[in-house]
Amino acid sequence: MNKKINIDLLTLKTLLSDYKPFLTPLFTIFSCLLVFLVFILPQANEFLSSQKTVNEEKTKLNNLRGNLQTLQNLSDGELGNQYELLSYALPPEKNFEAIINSLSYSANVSGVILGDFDFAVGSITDSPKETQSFPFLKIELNLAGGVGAVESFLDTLSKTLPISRVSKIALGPSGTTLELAFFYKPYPEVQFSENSIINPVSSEGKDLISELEDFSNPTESPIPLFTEEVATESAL
Amino acid sequence: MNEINLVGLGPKKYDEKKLRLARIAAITALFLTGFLSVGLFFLNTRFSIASIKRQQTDVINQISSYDERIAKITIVNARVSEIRQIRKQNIDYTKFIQTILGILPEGLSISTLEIEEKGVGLSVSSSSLLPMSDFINELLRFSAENSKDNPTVSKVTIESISGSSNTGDFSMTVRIDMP
Repeated sequence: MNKKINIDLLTLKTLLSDYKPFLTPLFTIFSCLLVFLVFILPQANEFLSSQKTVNEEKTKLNNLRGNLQTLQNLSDGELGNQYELLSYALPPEKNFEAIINSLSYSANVSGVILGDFDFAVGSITDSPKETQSFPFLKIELNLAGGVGAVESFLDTLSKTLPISRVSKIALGPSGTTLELAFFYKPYPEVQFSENSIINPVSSEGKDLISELEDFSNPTESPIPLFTEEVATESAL
Repeated sequence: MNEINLVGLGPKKYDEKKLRLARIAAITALFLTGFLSVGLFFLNTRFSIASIKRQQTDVINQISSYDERIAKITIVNARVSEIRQIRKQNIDYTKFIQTILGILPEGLSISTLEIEEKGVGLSVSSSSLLPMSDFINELLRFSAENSKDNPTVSKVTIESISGSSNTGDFSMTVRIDMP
């Protein structure tokens, strides 16, 4: 049933003039449809598909803002003091001066006489291997004094910077031999990336810092030399 | 040649209602398209990756002016964690010496005391065996208090007991293992 429709120019003109008011709305609807299909729909698709990446980037942005906030809240003075204190407590390299100061200070405070001591220095030029988590300087030390004096020496040393560990104590009639380890550790590589999170010092960290602040620091506090006692004795 | 319109201006061929509907549909489409375009433009400007990247760059630029603080806070945090690790592994020898001295009975004197990481070698001497027996009992009592929360002594071994016929003194060597 193929009905043929015969449309000639005159019929078209007639239709056009008859339905002219429909032209504008139809053209508008068609244009809107075209804009929707060609521009809006692909843009909306792209926007929706990029949301996962957008969320990841937003998380990064929030981290960065958090880092900025943390950095802005830090006080240069306080941070500088903490940095110096902790760098003195655990030096980045072998610090012989600090070790000798610490030993002399502890000996003076506890009233023991320091005998010979040997440093197991190791290589001076080589930097410690990355794999060695806590490199240390080993010191063998002879002390003259009784158990009480040694105990007092160890007690003072444990509260004196830089931090150390006693690995062996040998008390005998001829004196006491101590084996001590003074730790050092090179600074970590500071690399900031957009994924890094900068944390302020934790509350445990603050506790540790305030505890270390109470430690004796022979470079800051002069070594007590019992000058008064010596003067009295010499006067006698 | 003049054209004569035989049809004339007769009644309208279309339905006024349909025209009104078409106009309403056109206005709605126009409004929707405009709204969607503006909305999408706003979303794309506000939440696009490019916009977030721009904000990230701004923040990174601000952060880079705090280079020194970044270095210091990183080192401070690292040092705190390292020092805590070192201190965690430290053994309080003074406390141990105090304990040994505390349980040492009268009449018994320490000849040598050697403390290492996991154990203590102790030589004591006395003119009588009784204080030695008391000392061993005290050590065993001390080791009985050993627990995960309060590590004291895990093992006590008497390595030797000897007596000197010349001086009449007894000496004993004890090995104390720490947990």
